[in-house]
Amino acid sequence: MTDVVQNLIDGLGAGSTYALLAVGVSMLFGVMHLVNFAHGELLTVGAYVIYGMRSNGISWLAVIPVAIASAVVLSMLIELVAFRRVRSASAFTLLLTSFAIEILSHAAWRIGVSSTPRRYEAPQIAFKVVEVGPFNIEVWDVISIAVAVACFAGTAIMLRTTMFGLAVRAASEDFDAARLMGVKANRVISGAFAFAGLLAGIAGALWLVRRGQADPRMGAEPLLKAVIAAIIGGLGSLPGAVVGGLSLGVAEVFFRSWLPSDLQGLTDSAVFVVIAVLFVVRPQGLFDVETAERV
Amino acid sequence: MTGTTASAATAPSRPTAPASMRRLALASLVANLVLLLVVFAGGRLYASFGSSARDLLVVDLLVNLVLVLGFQVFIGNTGVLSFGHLGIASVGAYTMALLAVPADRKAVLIPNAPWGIPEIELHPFVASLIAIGVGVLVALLLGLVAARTSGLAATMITLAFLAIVRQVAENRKDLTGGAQNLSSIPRLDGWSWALVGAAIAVTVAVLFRSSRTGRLAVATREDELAAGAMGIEVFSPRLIAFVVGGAVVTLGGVLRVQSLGSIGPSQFSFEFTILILAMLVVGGMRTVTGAIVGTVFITVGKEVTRFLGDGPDFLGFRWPVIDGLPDLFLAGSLLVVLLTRPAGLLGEFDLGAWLRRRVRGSTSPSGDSSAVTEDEVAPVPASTTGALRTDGLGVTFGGFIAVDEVTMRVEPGTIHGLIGPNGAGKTTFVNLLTGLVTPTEGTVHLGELELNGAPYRRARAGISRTFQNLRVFPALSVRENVAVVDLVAHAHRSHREGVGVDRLLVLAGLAELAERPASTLDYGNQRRLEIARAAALRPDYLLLDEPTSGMSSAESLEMVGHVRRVATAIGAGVLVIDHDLGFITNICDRITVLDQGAVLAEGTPDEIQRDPRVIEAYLGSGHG
Amino acid sequence: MRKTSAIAALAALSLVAAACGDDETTDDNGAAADTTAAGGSDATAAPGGGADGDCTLDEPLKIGYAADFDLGGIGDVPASKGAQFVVDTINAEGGVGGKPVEYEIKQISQTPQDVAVAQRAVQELLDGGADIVLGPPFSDYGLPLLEVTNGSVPVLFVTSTEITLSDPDRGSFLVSFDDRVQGSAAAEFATKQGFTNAVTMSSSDIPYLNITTASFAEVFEGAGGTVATDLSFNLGDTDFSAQVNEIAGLDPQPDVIYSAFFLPEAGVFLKQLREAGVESAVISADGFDASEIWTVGADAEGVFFTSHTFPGPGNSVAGFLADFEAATGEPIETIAFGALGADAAQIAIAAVEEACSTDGATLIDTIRNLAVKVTTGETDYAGGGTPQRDVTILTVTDGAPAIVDAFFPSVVAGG
Repeated sequence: MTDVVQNLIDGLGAGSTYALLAVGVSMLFGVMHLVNFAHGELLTVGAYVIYGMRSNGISWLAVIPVAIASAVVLSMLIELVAFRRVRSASAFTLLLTSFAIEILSHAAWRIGVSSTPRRYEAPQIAFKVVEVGPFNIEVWDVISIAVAVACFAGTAIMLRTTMFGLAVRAASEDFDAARLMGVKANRVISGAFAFAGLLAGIAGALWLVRRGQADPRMGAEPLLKAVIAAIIGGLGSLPGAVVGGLSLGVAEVFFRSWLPSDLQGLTDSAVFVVIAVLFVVRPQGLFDVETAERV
Repeated sequence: MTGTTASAATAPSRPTAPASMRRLALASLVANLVLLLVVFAGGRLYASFGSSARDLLVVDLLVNLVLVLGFQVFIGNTGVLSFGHLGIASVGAYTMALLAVPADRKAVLIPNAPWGIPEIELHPFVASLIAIGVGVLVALLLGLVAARTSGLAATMITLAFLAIVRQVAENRKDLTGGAQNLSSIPRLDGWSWALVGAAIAVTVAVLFRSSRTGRLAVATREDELAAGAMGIEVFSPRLIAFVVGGAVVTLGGVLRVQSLGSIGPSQFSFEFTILILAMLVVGGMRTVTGAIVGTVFITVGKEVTRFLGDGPDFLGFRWPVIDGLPDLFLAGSLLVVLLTRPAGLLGEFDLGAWLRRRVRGSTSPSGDSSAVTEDEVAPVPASTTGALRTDGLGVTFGGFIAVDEVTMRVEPGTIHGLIGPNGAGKTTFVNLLTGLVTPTEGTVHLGELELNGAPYRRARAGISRTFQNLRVFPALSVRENVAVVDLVAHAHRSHREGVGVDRLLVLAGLAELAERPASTLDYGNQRRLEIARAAALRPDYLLLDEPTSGMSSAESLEMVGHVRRVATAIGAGVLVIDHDLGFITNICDRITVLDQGAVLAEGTPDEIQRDPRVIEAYLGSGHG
Repeated sequence: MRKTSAIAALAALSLVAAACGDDETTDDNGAAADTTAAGGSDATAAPGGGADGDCTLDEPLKIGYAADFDLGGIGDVPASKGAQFVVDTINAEGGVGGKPVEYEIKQISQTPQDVAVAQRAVQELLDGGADIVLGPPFSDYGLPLLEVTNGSVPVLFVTSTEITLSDPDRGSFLVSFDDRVQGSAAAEFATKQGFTNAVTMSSSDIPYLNITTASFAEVFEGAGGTVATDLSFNLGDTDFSAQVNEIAGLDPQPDVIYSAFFLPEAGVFLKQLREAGVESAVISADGFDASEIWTVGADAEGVFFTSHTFPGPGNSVAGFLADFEAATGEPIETIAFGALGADAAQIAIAAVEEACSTDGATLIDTIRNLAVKVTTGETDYAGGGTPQRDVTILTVTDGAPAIVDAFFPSVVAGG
């Protein structure tokens, strides 16, 4: 029982990062039917910003806001330069565009900085452990969960009370209708990219503080997790993305501690099988926000 | 432009128009094979001036072309993005490797492999054939899952499959050697085998495109929903395309590992899939010519950037060593093409079709059809299926009653109008009839037959339709729009006599435009094309959803005559939906008025025009 | 899809590199490789073969470097510079066999990983007359590369420790020890410290992370120790709470934790481990050196790891580093890998001088029996594809690596 609770705490800590990313992925899917595989590159830019500033001895307190801002800026830039031009293209084109941007980003960091990793020292606070009864609680897990909860609450409030939120919800609920009704698509989409970038920047900060290293391809792995989380939760559904992210984080920890070690290498495969089955059994269920095509 | 023509069906009951289609396929095949030879000759010429590494480049290009064409067969013809095909190729390639690697090497590399594999040592050719068989089997199994879904779901399933194959290859070290790679695969020398492989792939891809299945698959690519309404089932053509594509990529994978001599889990990776897709998309995925051009473009570009990245002495200047330059080129060119020419550099261009047009010059490409005049169109016998009727048909969307227990009856051979103000539930009613929307209550009968199930089943049972917001197959020629449905009619409606593609085009006044892509037609012509396409199914009933929407009154009047002529010619009853009372009363034998989802009135045009409830509903709601 | 595994593979590769220090200093710049033709270097040595200086080659020696500057860049970037430096040095002294040595680098790595491109690059090196090829750290490129050379020229996998790349029958050689040796050495070192109770951590993502751990366990248990459990992890993990909690809950606490992991995973693990109050010693492999574990800070203090070399009186690494910086104006990125690059070039040169030939088959046989003093010390192939070299045990003291021990393990796992 102690194990279960301990694993749950660990899993929620990791899962909150996934969830923050997944909400962004899901939001972008909602407003433009894009599964954005370039989203992970927002973490990479944050990491290099951290490396650059930390190696000049700048305080973490100053570094983190700049890293988050860099993710927001890059996200909006990607939208402006690339996705705006293919906004009404097929999901196929959008997906490939996002891959092209991802590869471009990797190549740019390799050419611009180096293929070899750049390192910075992770601060001790990110690893602090507090013993609470029988549990070892990591301070950073608590911070991660708290920050994520605050972000989700902020997102919920934003969606309910602002014009932008209303537009995002309208677009997510009926993509075509929103387009027909003349929601100012450019502004909504640009705003969604900024917002998703903000969440990615925050997720990145939580993750990067521990990681201690920047390298060109680092964004790919967490983004993959986020996409999986968003799919589990139903692409386009923001609460679903939160649930998906947290459950993925928890599931990983439980797999890790319960599966025999020779099966561990296949845990990702198990997740993929589950996803494939989900898609086969209920494709429309996973995309429940995607209403029937208008005839 | 593969398959944009299907002309000259002289006998109306032979709808496949095979002669012209075959000629086009042949032209395309010859032209693309010649293009392949030109590319190959260019490569050989380049290689003759340099080191033997250039021979490897030519082989690499040809083998990659096989993979690209495998993707083209599925993605290009169905429009569904698959990431899984290299997973299939990987399984096939591992099969080949496990069967063909010499036993003494296997004793070192994978001594603990199961199923007696360490002792097996087959001839590489036999191993390759078995591997392709395995690839086809895997493609069939995966296809059964993936082809059932569409759009993003299919993409994600195939992506998951690719990831699973890689993980299994990494983790079943006893079998695959894991990340350490399995080497000592007997290597193929020279280039002839690669050329043969590429020629096979080109041939399969061209022939598939012009096959019956290929044409149906393309129709589903163009508009899945409209294809279903025309009786085209999505699953089978998609599955067959998936399997044929799987066979071709397996051939490519088997050739690739034999050219490399080794295989590892990362060889047919997700990233490599992106490379192959980039070749396909940059050139233009819809035609074989596009696939060839894209493969050459990316291969050459990456080779040039690789040369520059190694810091050569070039142009009198020592270039710096740069890591990642080919990647930059790949991503950059893919991005630029996607942003500026999403259909690829060549779009719909097919060398064969283009040459054929050039050779034929500006003479009417459908000489036969222009000979058919409207006068010759003798009506086919009218449908004898019986009435189309609904019984208490209704649907509720989350508490909102869109259609409320509608009971109505359309008699054979008559033109029946369904009218009502905007939002009265007319289109929803048509969607209920055709199966796009599942009713919450009530039934639909066509004669004695109860209609239920998917739209394509109902279409095959005898009701075809047009759409309020036009849904022609945009990239297909006007003729192919009709001909592909004629294909379906031939298979599933052969008990009814057909009018023939050419005469339908003449009826629609589109004979002169037959070879133009449907998307280039103006609005009125697209409307008439949709009607001709629906008529080609030889329906018992034709359902026209707002055929005059967006038309002037003069055009509407013209449409009245047109609908009558078509209905008479194909011997079908018509259910026409409109909100234009004038149009409806002009054209219909009987009219049903729908208001707020329920039947408000029914009768002859005269009765309806006099009905006070109708007048009130119309005047009250501000006639749309 | 599994980008992680690619990342992991890179990381793993980087671990492999290293050169081990031995006694006997070579001369100042370490460039001159005076062959001590081992007794074994018998028959196949070319006719006119003999001491350096006597030999005159008909055509110049050409060394080609098939370099992976992407994921293998951790090894190949410094190693290619080290080799270049050695070539430049010897050319300044008149070259080999009376002619200047030619040296060419071709990049083999691209994203997506494309073995066909790598093979083409190697073929270009061969077409350009390369007599000896220096190869990348990982077998994903290394094995396909051997399909091209196919025993026609020797291939020295400069910074690799992969067992599969040691295959002298196909002309394939490592420059340093392999993963079994460093895992065994780590176990022997642990035993020497009096450790009897261990925990290992492994991952199926790359062979490196499994082979080292298995070798450690085999030798450690053979010496009477106990491996309480083997915990698994994935490359790309940034949370090791589960593993750390499991270790913290063990009774008795392990004396030592062994894993070949590296940064960034190892950094997170170390910090979480120490925060959880676990005091066990940590031993790792050359990946710690490659990824500069000391950048982690205080929690890296006192960890041990096996590596290839360390500047000291027994080798000429210090001189090499100083000369390299003096010649190029900047320090080499990673000491061990830079030195291994120098070693590889010196082995190539020594083999050609020994054989007085640039014939591939002759060189393969020569290297197989070569014993030569190189930058990192004495290296001896003794008829195999992997030279017998001491494993250097390093620790982190005051934020910098420091040498603890150097020896060849008395028992090597896995036969």
